[in-house]
Amino acid sequence: MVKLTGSIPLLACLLAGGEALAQATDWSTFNGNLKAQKYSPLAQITPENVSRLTVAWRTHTGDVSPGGSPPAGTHMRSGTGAAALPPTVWSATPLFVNDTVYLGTPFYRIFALEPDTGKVKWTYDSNAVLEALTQPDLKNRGVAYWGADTPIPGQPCQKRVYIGTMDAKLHSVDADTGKPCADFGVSGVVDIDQWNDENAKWPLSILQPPTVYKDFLFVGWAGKDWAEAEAPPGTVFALDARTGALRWTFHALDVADAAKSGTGNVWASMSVDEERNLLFLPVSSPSPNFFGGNRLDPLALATSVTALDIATGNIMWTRQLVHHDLWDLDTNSAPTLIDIEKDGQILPALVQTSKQGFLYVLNRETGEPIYPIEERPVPASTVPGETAAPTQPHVALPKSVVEDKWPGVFWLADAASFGYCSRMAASLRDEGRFTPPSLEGSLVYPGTIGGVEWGGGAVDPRSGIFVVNYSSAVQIYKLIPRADYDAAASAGSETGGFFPMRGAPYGIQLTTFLNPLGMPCWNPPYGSIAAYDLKTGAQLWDVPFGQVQKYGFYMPPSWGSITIGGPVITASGLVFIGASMDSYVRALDLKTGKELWKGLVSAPAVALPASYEYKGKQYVVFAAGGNSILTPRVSDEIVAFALGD
Amino acid sequence: MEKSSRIGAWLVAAAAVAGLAVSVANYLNPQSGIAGEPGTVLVIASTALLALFGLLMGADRRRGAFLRIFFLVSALLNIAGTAFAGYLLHSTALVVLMMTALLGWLLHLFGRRNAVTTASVSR
Repeated sequence: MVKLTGSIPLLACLLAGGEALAQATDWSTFNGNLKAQKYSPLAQITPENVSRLTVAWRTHTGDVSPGGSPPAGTHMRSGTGAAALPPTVWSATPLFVNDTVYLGTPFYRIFALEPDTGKVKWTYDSNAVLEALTQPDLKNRGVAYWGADTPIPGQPCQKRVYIGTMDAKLHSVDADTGKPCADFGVSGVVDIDQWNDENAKWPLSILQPPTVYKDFLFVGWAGKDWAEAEAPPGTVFALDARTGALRWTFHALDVADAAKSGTGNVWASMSVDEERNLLFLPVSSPSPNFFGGNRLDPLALATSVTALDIATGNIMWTRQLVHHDLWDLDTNSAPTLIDIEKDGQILPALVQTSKQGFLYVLNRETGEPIYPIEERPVPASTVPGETAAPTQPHVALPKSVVEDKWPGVFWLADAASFGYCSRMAASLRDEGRFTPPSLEGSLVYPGTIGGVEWGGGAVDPRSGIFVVNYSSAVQIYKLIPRADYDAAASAGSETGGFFPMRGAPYGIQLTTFLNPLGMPCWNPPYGSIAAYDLKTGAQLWDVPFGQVQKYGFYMPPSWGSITIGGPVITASGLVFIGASMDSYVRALDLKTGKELWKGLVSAPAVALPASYEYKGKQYVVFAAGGNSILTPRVSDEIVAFALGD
Repeated sequence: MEKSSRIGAWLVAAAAVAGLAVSVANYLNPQSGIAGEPGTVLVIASTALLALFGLLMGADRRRGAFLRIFFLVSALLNIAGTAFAGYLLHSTALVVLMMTALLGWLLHLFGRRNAVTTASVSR
């Protein structure tokens, strides 16, 4: 009987194709596979037994900083003077490959762990500068792994692990020993900043691990948002995985536009269609983020999903998701690749989630919509020097995760603030989706924190069920003329939402719509998770997810939580996810969204989990690092869960 | 003071001390989900105060009616508030301990009533 039940998932794997079978035990990339499906064919942990999940092991890296006095019980790295460091944001997907769990840390170290005990095999210290050079926090989303197709026995670096740093260095080390690979760049390090030659106002921070395919490393980077009008223009570098030599470069902006604007960078993960030799890029918005008077010409590649030829970097197609972006609606996650059976045809599709809440389902060969995308008129800008795009792409099917109108004033927040929320809402410009930033202040929904964040969605490739967590956050965008900005900003601070956009005629005050007590002014839920049938576009379920935690008190589950991070689906019909503002990690029923299990970790697990099998046991592992956007609680903990013996 | 009344007061104090220990452990344990949180500090303070009320209620000293009622009402409000806070903090142990404290409070109250009634009858 045991063998019979075990053979059912195996059969399912076979039916799902060879790729799934090849990955049955590994989690070798950021998104689980190069299609960014975040899907594990493992099925030992099921909806029936998930309630028996327990901690298999728990490890602390020591690489954590609260950015102030450490909270009680925080494990600090000795001798680092961590209290003086910026806070850490740890969003690393653990990799399991080469019989080892690999992790990058916010101090830009690599940890190699035993997969069944969590004991440290080796560590590598990049000795990176631990300063907030671009981001306000020390941030890391993990490492990348590469293995030679035909390894040379006895030679080092036939398997490698890569980690990037805030100061734009990409390190390559031997996956078995943690020793630097001397043939990569200079003594195992490539300085990506050597190619930072336009508007080089800050380093090209490598916070997202490279995407690895064959002998290529595809490297995107993150910058310093909202600070400058002219900023480094978006580039993606394709490097040789062995030597670090530059193979080709993708530019999101042409030379003239790059000189007066910038970014359009790719700071999130990418996906790869191995059959078609296509690399898919989620391209971010141009600078300055909230005023486009200096970039009125169409920038076709900005805020787009773009397909490149892997060998050459040539653009195969591109689809802009937001025209003349004035909201910082970066395309922020790798598109998920899946073949959809629709109207009797198998269509090669991709699903691009977005901050604006739309799910764009496109033919990944052509970029054409599988479900219609309609250009709809949107509000005009009233800001001198600005011309907003007259229309924006709108997706009716699948249903957007957030509505076109903001959720309205929450009576409790309004009552607690003696009508502050209502008065404020009445004073703001609000004309629905894509209301441009204004001088009086615009109510923007969804704003730059989404919608869907960089975790994107997960798909079960057998059923075509797509699961995505999202936030419902209302923000206020208020442009401030340059002459008045300095006085306004000096009266406040960056935490008060002031961002200079130096070089533009306006700075911006960007705040979340809270009452003076810190309560959200809009109706809950603040975060949810939803499932869709990609064969029809129908939404299957949509439930509040996670819990807001304030001062330690958990708010009602029906309020949900802002979410950062993403889900993983397993073949047994489970969804594993951290992502919420509380410090729980959860397992949901793929069919209904019902919570079947939750476990407490020491900080919000704002990363993608990974699932792997080792010595016959399935593990689900979370990096619980926290994110200061959600809550000040940070940690250095990695926790693996498995069924008890 | 009747024996059951005194036992009730000691039960309040004991449950409060146990609640205090649980809350301090939660404050220090990073796996508790409420380590270092202001809400945890609040229940540390409230359980410490409740322990004091329990001790004063159980002490065999004659007090005026005002003080007796003040301690009784304050203890009840403290128990209810701490239990609610424990619920919002997901501290099941604290909620259970406050239930125990409530049981002690009821024992104390009805023990006193019996004692008063017995004294009235014998007079």
